[in-house]
Amino acid sequence: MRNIARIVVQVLIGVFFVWHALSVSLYAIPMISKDPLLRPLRDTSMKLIAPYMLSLSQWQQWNLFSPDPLRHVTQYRIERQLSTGQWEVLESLTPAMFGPLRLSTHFKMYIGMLERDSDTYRPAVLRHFLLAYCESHSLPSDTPVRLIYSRYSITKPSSFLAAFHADPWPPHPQQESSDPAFCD
Amino acid sequence: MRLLLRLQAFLFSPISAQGFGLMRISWAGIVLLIFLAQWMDITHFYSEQGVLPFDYEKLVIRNVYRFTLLDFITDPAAVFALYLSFLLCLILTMLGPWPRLTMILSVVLMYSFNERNPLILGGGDTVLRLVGFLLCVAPTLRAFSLARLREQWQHWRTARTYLPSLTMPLWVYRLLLWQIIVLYTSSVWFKMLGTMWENGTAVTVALQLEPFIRWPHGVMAFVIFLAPFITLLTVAFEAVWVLLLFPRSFTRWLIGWEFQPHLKRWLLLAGVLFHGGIFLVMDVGSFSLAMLVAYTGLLLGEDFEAIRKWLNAHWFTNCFHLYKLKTNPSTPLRARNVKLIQVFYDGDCGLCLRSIFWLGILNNLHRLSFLNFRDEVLRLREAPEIALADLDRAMHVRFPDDTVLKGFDASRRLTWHLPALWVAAPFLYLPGVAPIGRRIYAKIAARRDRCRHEGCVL
Repeated sequence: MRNIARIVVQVLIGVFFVWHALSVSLYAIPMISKDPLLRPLRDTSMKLIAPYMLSLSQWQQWNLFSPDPLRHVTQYRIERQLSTGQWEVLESLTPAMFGPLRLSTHFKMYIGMLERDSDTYRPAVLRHFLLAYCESHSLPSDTPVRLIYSRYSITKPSSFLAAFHADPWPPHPQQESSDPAFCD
Repeated sequence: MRLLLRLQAFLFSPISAQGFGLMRISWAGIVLLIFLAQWMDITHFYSEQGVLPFDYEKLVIRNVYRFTLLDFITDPAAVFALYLSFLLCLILTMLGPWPRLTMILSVVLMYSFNERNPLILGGGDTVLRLVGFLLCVAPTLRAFSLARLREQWQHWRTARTYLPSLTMPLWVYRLLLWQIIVLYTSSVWFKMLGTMWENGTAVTVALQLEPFIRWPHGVMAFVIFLAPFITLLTVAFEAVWVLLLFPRSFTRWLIGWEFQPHLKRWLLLAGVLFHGGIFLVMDVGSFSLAMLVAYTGLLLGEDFEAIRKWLNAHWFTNCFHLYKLKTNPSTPLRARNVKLIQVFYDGDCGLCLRSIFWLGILNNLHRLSFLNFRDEVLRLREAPEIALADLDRAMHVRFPDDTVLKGFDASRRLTWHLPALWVAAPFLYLPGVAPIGRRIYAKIAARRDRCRHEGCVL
């Protein structure tokens, strides 16, 4: 009896082993890949493996600094418009605000929430983010608040040899503004 | 039938459970560090009054196959209380009084926080989630735990020996190795979908990405000079991991050599340098530390033995010959030219026996030998020059260079040979510590006859 139970357990573990290994492999196939065989295989298998992988928080795409590293660097500024029409800085979101253990967490969040080319950018979320400053700075209602992106791009080296040299320093950022949100 | 037996061996051969024990401790430690760093931001990231309230969370995050306790616990005070419970769970997971229970609770809570606000997550958090899951399903987590320590003490009290090292079946190790190979292979695949990793220019750009670089621009300009080589080495390092998929029997048949254990150790060492280098130069969240956590799970008994041999080769010339002694066992250890650290203890003293138990538990490098000086024959053979009265006053330790130390000084020097105490060792040499340590030792030693195994009234 004990032997039968042991064999049953081993068979179940074996099935789980194959299932988990296969699910991990298929889910990790790059979503942006255009491979004619593997990409359709991933897409087809999603119906089966996605519930398992997502429910157990095993989702994974290994695209850190890939396919090509990020090439623009952005700092953020929240401004409000005065009655004179001029814009005043409420807060600058710069690396100096955060210690080393908080920096990457906050900037990852800003990239996800505030950058228009991010998959998770939503205008409503940006608006909510800006309106939070109305409350924290006790701004009167109907005060316009906006986000300024101060952004510069790193030149893509043209070749392997060109990569031995860094871009000239300091860079010259370009400014871009979001649509304003109006305090409630 | 032969196939079934080979499958059974493939999945269920026993391996040392120590790697996963270390991985449990390091996983909990790194997750604790990451979440402690969020102390000031917990309600901002995870509560209803934070940056992503429930109505906006729905717009950004998937709503299917997602579970988080924080969809039900939304009040800032309650969220913070849950966070404190999580930190406590992680500390208990590290210590291991109830390893399985605390591991599962820690993973559930970590997943809850991660799923509540995925915007702050990076690759390191993904690695920690994957490793956490494997730890939850691992057959045993008791290595290097308080639970195991309890079992060891109960056994040692009666048998004066230690329980054999814990083992577990191979399958969960293979899942971890498979996951790491998939990680690196998929990473190479992603890199090849662009152009900059192929032409060696990717790291040059990455090292200019403020706010992720740690050093001033002048320092980074020097590192950028090496960037093209680092780019190509990165891709090569990640691609080579797939060679570990080749079975040992296949490579033994093909080229007459099982290169996998050696390759794995070199890859682990290269990985420590690779991820450690990234950690030193850039702030990419927890990815570097998370990968080092995953690496600990790949350590097998043969790897621990290789590390032990390598470390011991620097201090002992003959230690590794201990198990191949050809001389008469009654010949004194010194005469056999085997250089172990000899610890002389009082076998009639309860406190001393308890101390020896702890030294044996911490003796991971197998450098210590324990000799009961109450055994007259043993004492006259191994320590004829030390008077019985002196041995009775304090623990004596003879080191391979024939130095004999006693009491606090002996204990202090022993810490250099016990890996778990390496962190504490330098502090014992601070000014003022030695006089205090000697006084305390002398007081305890004078009263030790009041101690038995079951209790100690000093």
